[in-house]
Amino acid sequence: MSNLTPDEQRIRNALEQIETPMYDILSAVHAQRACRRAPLRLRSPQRLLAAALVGALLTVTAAAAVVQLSGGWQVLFGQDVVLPEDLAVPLQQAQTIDSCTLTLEDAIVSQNDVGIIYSLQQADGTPFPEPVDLEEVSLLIDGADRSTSSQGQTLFTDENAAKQYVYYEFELDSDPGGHTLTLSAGPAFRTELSDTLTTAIDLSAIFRTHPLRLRADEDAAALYAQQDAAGAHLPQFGALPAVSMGGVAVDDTGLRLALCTPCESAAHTLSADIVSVLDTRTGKSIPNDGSSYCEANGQTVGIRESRFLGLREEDLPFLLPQIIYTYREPVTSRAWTIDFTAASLPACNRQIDLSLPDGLQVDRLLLSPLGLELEGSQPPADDIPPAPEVQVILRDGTTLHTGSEFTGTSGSDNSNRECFTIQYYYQSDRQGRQFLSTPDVTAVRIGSTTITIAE
Amino acid sequence: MNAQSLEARFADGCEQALNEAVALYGQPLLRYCHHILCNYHDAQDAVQTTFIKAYDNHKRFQPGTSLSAWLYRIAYTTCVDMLRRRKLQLMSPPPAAVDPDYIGEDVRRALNTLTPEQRALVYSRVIEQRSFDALAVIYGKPAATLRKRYERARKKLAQALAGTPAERRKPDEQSHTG
Repeated sequence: MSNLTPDEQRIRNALEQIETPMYDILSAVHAQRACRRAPLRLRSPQRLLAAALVGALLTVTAAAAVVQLSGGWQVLFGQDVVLPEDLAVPLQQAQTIDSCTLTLEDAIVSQNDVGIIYSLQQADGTPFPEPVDLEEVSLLIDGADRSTSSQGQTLFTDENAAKQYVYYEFELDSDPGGHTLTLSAGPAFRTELSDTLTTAIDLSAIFRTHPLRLRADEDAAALYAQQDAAGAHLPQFGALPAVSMGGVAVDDTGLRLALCTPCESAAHTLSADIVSVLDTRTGKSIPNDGSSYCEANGQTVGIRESRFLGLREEDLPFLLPQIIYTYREPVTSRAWTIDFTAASLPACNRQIDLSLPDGLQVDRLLLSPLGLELEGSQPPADDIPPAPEVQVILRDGTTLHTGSEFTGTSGSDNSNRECFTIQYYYQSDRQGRQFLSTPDVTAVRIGSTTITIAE
Repeated sequence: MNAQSLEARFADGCEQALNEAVALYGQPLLRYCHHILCNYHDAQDAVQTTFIKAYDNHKRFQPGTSLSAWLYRIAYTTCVDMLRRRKLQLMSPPPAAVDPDYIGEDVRRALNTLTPEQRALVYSRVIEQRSFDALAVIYGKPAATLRKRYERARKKLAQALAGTPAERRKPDEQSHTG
C-alpha cells in the first residue's frame, strides 16, 4: 500500500471524522425494486407500516384507477399506479412445485416488450420464513428466448397475504402477439449471509511456506496447493461444509488471497469470499477489487480468489482477512413453466435524428405501454450529461412527465463516441407509475423538440 | 450454474449474485457516495439506486471485467446525476436538522470547495487507497489524467482544511506534517 504524503494524511484524518453508519442495503434494495419509482429507505418503521398497509387498501382503491386485476400492481407500485382498462390481461395461472405455488397473475403484452406480475406463496398459505429468490426468470416465445438487453424486475413481500409479488419486464426482439409465451421461473432458493467475520490468520506465515510471486495474468488456482495453510483456522458458518484458507500470492498489481470452498455447484451451496482485509496499522478495512471462482472438473472443492490492488508482500504481516459466508438453500427442485398467449398491444419503434445539448445525438425512440427508451450516442464524457427531459402528450391533451431509469453507456474503444440507452417510465400526475396505451400518445417532447407520433 | 464467478452470475441476472454483490460492495459504496454527496440519506438512495441500475442492466456488464469497478462507476454517475438534479430543482435546502449527515461543518465546508469528481477521486485515493490504474477502470479516463486531477483536488482540499477546527483537533498529526 502506498504511503500517504503529509497532506494526504491530514486529508485522511479529516475524512475519517465522517461517520457513515451501517445500513441494511439488501432489504432496501429489494424494497426499492418493489416500489422502484421513489427510493424507499427502511429506516422508518412508519414507512414499513405504510408499505404493508398498501395491501390492505387494495380493495378500497382498486375500483377507482385500476381495473380488477392482480392486487400486485398496487402492492408493487403503490396506490397511485395508473393502469388503464384493457391494458393488462388477467391470467391467474398457478402451478405448485414442492409446496411452493407460483401464480402468473397478469401480463401487459406489447409488440416490443412484455410486463408480467407473478406471485409466490407457500401452498399451505403460511408466510415464507424468508423471502425466496429465483435462479432464473425468462420469457420464451414459441420455446425460444427472444429477450434482448433490457430486463427490469421488482419484488415485494406482502407479509399480510403471505405472498411475494414480482414484476418483470422483458424487452423482446420480435412481436410476441398470438404466439405461445412461456414463463420459465426458478428453481427457488433462499439465501443466508453471515456477518463480516474477521480472522486471525498469519498471511505472511502462509506466504513464506512457498512464496508465490506471479505475473498479473498468471493463474494461481493450481499453485495454492503448494502452500501450507493447514494451521489457518477460519470461523465457520453453522454446521455447514468447511471452508479453509487456500493460499496467498502476490503479483505485479497487488495481493491475492484464496479460500478453498465446497463446490459452489452443489445443490446446498455454501460459498465464502474474502471481502476485505483489516489493516491493523490503521484499523481500517480495505475492500477487495473483485473476486473470482474456479473449480477443476470432478473436484469437490473450488478456489475463491480475491484480489487487492496496490497491496504488497510487505503489507502481509499487518493484514487480517475478513470473510462473508453465503449459504444457499433450495426451496424447489425445479423451475415453474407456465404457458399463455395474448394479443399484442401496439408499440412504436422509430428512427429519429435529434441533436441535443452536450453533444447528445438521439437515433431511436421506442414507445410501449410500459415506458419509452431513447438510444443514441454522445462524446466520451468527462462529465455525465444529464438525461434529456422527456414528456409524453396524450390525445386528451394531458402531458405526462417521465422519470429516467438508467443511462447506460457502452465503451468507446473504436470510435470517438459512446452509445447510450436511457429508459423512461411514465409518471402519473400523482407521481405514481403509469402504464398507457401507445395509440393514446400523440407526441413525445424530448428537451425542446416535439416529435409527433400520431395525428 | 453456480460454479461460475460472481461476475458471471451477475451478468446472467442471478438473484443470489445481486445479494452477494450487495454484501460485498454495499457498505464501501455507501461510504463512497456519502463522501461525494455529503449527505448520508442521499447516499442511501444513491447506493440503492446503484444496485438496482446495475442489476436491471446486468446484461450490459461484461464478465471478466471488474464488477466492483462497474458498480463504482454507476455509483459515481448516480451521485453526479443526483447532485445535478438537486441543483436544477433549486428547491429550498433539505431539512438538514431532521436527518443528521454525520459530517462536521468544517469538513463539509472544505469538501464543498471540490467538485463531485474531485471528492470522488480524493476519497478513492486517500481512504480506499486505490491505484491510479484502478481508478482509470472506474472513471474511464487515463491514469495520467486522473493523477493530475487528483493532485489539483488534493491541494485544494488541503488548503481548505488548513486551520479548520478539524485540523486543530489533531495536534499529533500536525506535528509531523512538515
